[in-house]
Amino acid sequence: MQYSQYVLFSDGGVPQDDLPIDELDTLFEQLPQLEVSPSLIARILATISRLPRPTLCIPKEELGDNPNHPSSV
Amino acid sequence: MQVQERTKTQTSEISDGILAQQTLVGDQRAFELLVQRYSKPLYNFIYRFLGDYDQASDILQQVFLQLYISLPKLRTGEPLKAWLFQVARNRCLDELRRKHPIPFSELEPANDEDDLSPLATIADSSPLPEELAERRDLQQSLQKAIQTLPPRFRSVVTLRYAGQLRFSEIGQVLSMPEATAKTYFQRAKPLLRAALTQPA
Repeated sequence: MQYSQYVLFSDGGVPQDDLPIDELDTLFEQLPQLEVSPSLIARILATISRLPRPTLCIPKEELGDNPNHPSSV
Repeated sequence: MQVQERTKTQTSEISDGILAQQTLVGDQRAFELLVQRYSKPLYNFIYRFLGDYDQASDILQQVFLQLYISLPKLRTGEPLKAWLFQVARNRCLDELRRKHPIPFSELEPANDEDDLSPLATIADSSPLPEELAERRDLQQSLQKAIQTLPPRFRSVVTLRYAGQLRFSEIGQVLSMPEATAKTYFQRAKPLLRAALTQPA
């Protein structure tokens, strides 16, 4: 299997989500969606940037001759 | 302006899987897009679950750190969104456990749908007192009501209201059928009503 064919995540389809909406749902919809502060995002990204790059461990026989695979760079 | 809009649309069309692959080949910008995509719903979920801004910030950071470290191993076919919320929920439960010991029965999402009496699955349609909606501290009341729920119901309610997940996604996060997630949500509502109608 080529690297490009690897499925990391499958994006789910749109489900049927049909519970009737009552006044409690309406009430809780009034809870504001909080924004994440840019400084928190920056802190997360700064922490990540200090980590070594994650590498994909794919068995050698599955790599083939794919020159694009990170381990062959 | 148009270019900015087009770029935004284009990046939102890139699937999680592609962004993860790009991160694995060293594209930090791809990981940044994943952080931008999921930080808000995760943050809202964590905050509503715990009710503490500092803890929500710390846990959000831990979730993305765990994602980055786990990227090479994430090939299970599970949607990334559900995985992220699962990690966030586990961290929240750890935090709750640290503060107050939680009975084991409250932590386990037992698939006890069959045990529910028919009455328990019927939505309580009794109206909330109108004056409640007029209270200035409505948001605080809602937040407090969530905090009164046992962890298993709190998970479903916060995933729904704060994380804005579909029931199928909630089922994935909590490893339960979609129908059970809906049942838990309906069972949580009378508890929320009771909490909201209690005098402060």
